[in-house]
Amino acid sequence: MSNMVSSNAVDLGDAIDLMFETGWTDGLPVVPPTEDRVKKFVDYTGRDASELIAELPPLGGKATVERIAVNAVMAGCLPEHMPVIITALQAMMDDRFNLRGVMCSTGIHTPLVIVSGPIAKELDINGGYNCFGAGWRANATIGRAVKLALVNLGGAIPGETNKATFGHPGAYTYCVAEDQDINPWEPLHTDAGLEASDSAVTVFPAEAPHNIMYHAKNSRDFLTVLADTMCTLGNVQMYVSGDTFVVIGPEHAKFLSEDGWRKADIRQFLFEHARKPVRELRHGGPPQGDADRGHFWPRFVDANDDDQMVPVVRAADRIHIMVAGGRGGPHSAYLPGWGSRRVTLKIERP
Amino acid sequence: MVSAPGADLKARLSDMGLLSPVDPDAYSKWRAAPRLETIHGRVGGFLGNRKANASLLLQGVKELLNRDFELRDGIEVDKYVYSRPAADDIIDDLASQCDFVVTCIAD
Repeated sequence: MSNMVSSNAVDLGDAIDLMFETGWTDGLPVVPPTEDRVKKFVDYTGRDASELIAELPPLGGKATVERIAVNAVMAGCLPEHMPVIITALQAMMDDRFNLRGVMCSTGIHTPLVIVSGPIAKELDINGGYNCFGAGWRANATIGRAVKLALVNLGGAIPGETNKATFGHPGAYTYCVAEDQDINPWEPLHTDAGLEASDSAVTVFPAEAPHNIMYHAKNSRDFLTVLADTMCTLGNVQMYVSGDTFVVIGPEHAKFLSEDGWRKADIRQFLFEHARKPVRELRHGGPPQGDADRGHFWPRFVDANDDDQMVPVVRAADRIHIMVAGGRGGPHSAYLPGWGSRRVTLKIERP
Repeated sequence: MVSAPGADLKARLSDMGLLSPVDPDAYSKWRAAPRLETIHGRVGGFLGNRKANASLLLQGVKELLNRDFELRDGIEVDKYVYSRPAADDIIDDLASQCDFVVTCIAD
């Protein structure tokens, strides 16, 4: 990078206006990506600026370390956020995530970045009170950097290649941490075979969090309430059978674990109880499906039998469980998915 | 609208010491297929996305084109999964058999 220019030399207003003029923002002002600031971000990674991390769909833009850094600077990130952003983009390139479909669909989902392991606390990524809301720089800017990269480098342009009917508030930013201090179970990333001591990014195309309020302390009752919320007729999950996510709040996690429920038990309960009969699901229109079977439902479901019960996912291990949220509230959250899979990758530190 | 930086924009970015967040090649490599002089008497492909209304729409388009342009043939095929690109074997078959292809998106 030649012609190094100090950010002090840039007229801030002019630079912000230029970013709006180009269409390279998400509609909010961005931090001008000066060469010196971008270089700090690249240097932090220990990688070459030209290293190719991904060719992001739908347009296949080459996401080099430097271009990712430009988007991270614009989002307001710190250099230390770069490994999380790079890992998130790498995870989304896993074919199971179907990033092209995620970014171009008419649906209301958007990629969610979940950070688990020690790095979440080191970077102050919030998994406690208001964890899906505002107020934490790391959550706001890491999630925003990923979204800017998906548009600027991937070309998922709202209204053009991105055909979302409504879009999603999380299209600005959607990043949360799992709070291991309040998690009575093993961290989220251990489901993917990683060590508990690792730091990891999990990506998942999620709708907005849907609240599950439950004031008592009966595990079966709580899980019954949760299961009922998961299998509504309007939930896209009931028709496409992708992965789905449950965020258990600290109060609910506490009594579940004290009652002896492991995550595997919870998954199995939800798999068996979050079901609707074929008869009712016909109100949602004809089953849509793959070339061989005419529907996406599990093979054990006979789509011609009105009494057959269709689960929210194809198998219990497609229900993913994390723990987050503020203490004291009787709340958990459900994140409906879209039809593809969750992907988890270990964060490689510089 | 996102766009790749042209010469003027590149100069303005350079003047401010700013870097571009886009890959300019991503926006220039996608072009419309060459236009045929006419589709009269040609072979058309109709690539559906397996959504409920796609086959209805494509069938209607095919009938209109047949009526107005007397297509020599119309080949109908569906993608395997609506949210993913058409597989290479489908694209190769259409490319080898058709003079043009009509496809569809969304629901």
